[in-house]
Amino acid sequence: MLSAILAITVLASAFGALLGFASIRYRIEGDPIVEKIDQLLPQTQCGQCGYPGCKPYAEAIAKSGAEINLCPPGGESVMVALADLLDREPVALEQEERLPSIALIDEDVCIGCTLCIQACPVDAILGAAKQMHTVITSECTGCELCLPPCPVDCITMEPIPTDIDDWIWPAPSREAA
Amino acid sequence: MIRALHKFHGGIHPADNKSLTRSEPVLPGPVPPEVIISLNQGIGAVNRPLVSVGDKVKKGERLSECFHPLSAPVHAPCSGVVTAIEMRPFTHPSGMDNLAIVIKSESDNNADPVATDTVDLKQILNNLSAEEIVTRIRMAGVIGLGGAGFPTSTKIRTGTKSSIRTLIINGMECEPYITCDDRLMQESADEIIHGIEVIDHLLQPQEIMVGVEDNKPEAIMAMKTAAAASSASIDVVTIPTLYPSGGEKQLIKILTGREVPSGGYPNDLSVLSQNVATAQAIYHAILEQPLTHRLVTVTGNGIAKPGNYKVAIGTPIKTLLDSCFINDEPVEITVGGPMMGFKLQTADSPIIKTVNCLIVQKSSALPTPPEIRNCIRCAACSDACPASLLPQQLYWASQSRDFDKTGELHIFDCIECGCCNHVCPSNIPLVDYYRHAKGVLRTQQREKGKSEEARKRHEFRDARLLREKEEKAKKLAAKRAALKAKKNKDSEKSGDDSTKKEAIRAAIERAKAKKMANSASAKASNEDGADDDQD
Repeated sequence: MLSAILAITVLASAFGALLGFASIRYRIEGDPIVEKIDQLLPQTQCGQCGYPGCKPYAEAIAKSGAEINLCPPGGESVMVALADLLDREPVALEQEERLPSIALIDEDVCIGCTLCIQACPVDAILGAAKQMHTVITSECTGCELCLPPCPVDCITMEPIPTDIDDWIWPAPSREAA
Repeated sequence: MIRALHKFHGGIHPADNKSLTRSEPVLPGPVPPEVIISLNQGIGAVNRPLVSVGDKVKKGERLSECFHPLSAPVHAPCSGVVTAIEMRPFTHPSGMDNLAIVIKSESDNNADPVATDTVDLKQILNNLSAEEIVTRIRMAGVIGLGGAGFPTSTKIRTGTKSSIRTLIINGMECEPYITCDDRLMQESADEIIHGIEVIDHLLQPQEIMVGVEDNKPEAIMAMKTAAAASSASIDVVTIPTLYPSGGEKQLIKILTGREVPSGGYPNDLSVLSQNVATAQAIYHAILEQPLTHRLVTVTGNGIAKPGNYKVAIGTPIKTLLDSCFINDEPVEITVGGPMMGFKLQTADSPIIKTVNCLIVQKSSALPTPPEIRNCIRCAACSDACPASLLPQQLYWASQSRDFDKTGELHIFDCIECGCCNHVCPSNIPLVDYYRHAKGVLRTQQREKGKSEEARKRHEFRDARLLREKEEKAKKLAAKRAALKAKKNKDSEKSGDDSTKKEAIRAAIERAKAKKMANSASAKASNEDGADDDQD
C-alpha cells in the first residue's frame, strides 16, 4: 500500500517537474494563432472590418471570436482560408467583395495639406506641406483611408488595370454534364 | 558511336502532319508595309524604347533597352520611320494589347547581311572576352526560339558561372505540323554548327549532343555532314519519334538518363540546352547581326501555299497569311503547334520571336468539338504524362478550385504538353484546367508578397509613430525640467539683496537666540547637577 502511494507520488512529481521545465524552456512568445490569421489577411490596414487594422482583427478573431467574414478586400478566398485554418463553418461575406484598386491624387487640385499622408497606414503617399502629393502606386493597398481626410476631395480610387502579366488562363467553361 | 538512349515516362504518337511543309524550301516572307515590334517578346519586363515617333531607323538598329535580366532588346527588321509607339494587339492567348513600336518600312529592305562564308569565327572568338561574347548575344536580342523565349544570354551567363558538362542542342521538333527547325537544319546546318562552336568556346563542355528525331533523315544527314567538318566534337544523335521528346527535360532524360529535379533547372545537372534556331541566332549575334527574322511554318488546310517562311519579326500575321494565299474563307488560326499552341484572337497581332508555327484551318472543315463527358478515372492521362505527374488528381483538385492541393501535386512541373488531353476518352480539356490553376497560384503568390510588403511598411510606420511620440514626450519633459530649473534660478536671482540680508539677519538672530538658550540651559543644568549631587 505504502509503496504504491510512494511510487505514484514519485512519478507524479517527476512528470510535474518535467512539465514545469518544458513550459519554461519551450515557452512560445505571443499567440501563434494570431500570427497565422494575420498571415492570411490582405494587410491593407483599411479598417473596413471595424478593427483598426489587420493585426487587431486577427486578435479579435482569435480571442473574442469575431466573425471571419468581415474582410472585404480579402473577399471570399480569405474567408474560406480562415474557415479552413480555424475549422469554422464558412459564412457569407458581410460586405461586397471589392475590386482591387489604388488611390490616385489629382495633382492639379491637391493643396499640399499632408492630411492624407498622416492617414496612410503604409506610408504610400509622398509629399510635404504646401507641396504636391502623390501616391506611390506600387505600395498603395487601396484601403481608402486617405479619402475622408482630404479637404478638397482630390483623391479617387482607380481600379488596377490588368496587363498581360496579370492575365491568367480562364477556367474551362464547358463543364461535364 | 552508338549512344545508349534512355526513356522518359509516358508520351504519345499523334498524327504528325509534317508532310504539308517539310519538303518545300524556305521562302522569303512578305515585305510588310508596316511592322509592329512588341516591346516584350518573351518573358520579363517591358523594354524602354530608345527611339521616338518620327525617328528614322535603319535595318538592324536597336530600338529598346532593358534592365531586367529576363528581357532582351528588340531591333528594327527593316529601315523605315517610327510612326507610333502605342498599345497594339499582341500574339498572346489573352488577345490583350501590348506596348509596341510601329515602323513604316521603306523599300531597301532586301539588302542581305554580309556574306558569312569568309568569316573566321575562331579568330573573332579569340579576340573577344567571354563577357564580350555574352554581351553581343544579349545586345542582339537572342531569346530561346524553341518556344519559351528565355533570354539566351542569361542562360549562357549562368552556364559560365557553373561548369557545364553536357551541351544539348535541341533539333527534335516533336510537335505535329511544325517543320521550321527541320528545314533550318537542312538548309543552314553549318550556321547551327558555328553557333554550337560559340557556346563550346564559352563553356567548354565535355560533350556536345544534337538530338534529332528519326522522322527527319535529311536534317540528320545535313547536321552530321556539318558536324564532321567542325573542329568541335559534336555528336548528332538520332532519337526515335515520340511526343514530347523535344521537351527540354524529356530530351535531357533521353540523352543523359538523368532527371531535372522538381522545381529545378537543367543547370542543376550541369546541362545546358539550346534550340537549333537559337544556336544559329547566337552565331549571327557574334557577327553582330541582331535577331530580326525567324523561320515560321505556315500550314493547315486554310492555306493555299503552305511552307516555311523567313519572316521579319513584327510582320502582322494578316500580312504574312495574305502572302501565303490564304483562302477566302473564315479560318481559325493556332499559334504554335496543335498540342501546345493557342488560338489566335486577332490576325492584326504581329509575329514575335517565339512564334514558330501558324496553323490555319478552315472553320468549315473543323470537326465539331467533341462532347466533354465526366472523368471515369481510367488513368490513361497518368500513363501518358511525360512529367510523371498525376493528371487526374490535378484535374479533380483544380476543378474543385483546391489550388493549394494542385501545388502539392507539383503542378508547376507540368509542361503543358497536352498528352493527357490527347488520350482522355472523356475529352476533358485537362491542360486548360492546369493553366488556370497555375495562373491562380502565381497570382496568389504575388499577392502574398505584396501583403507581406504592406505588413512590413505598416509595422514600420507604427514603430516610427511610437518612436516619434516617445521622442516628443522626452523632449517635452526635458523642456519642462529646464523651464522649472530656470524659474527657480530666476526667483532666487530676483530677490537677491533683500533676501540675502534678511537671511543673514535671521541667521544672526538665530545664533543669538541659540547662544542665550545655551547659556541659560548650562546654568540650569549646573544647578540641577548640584542638586543631584546633594541627593
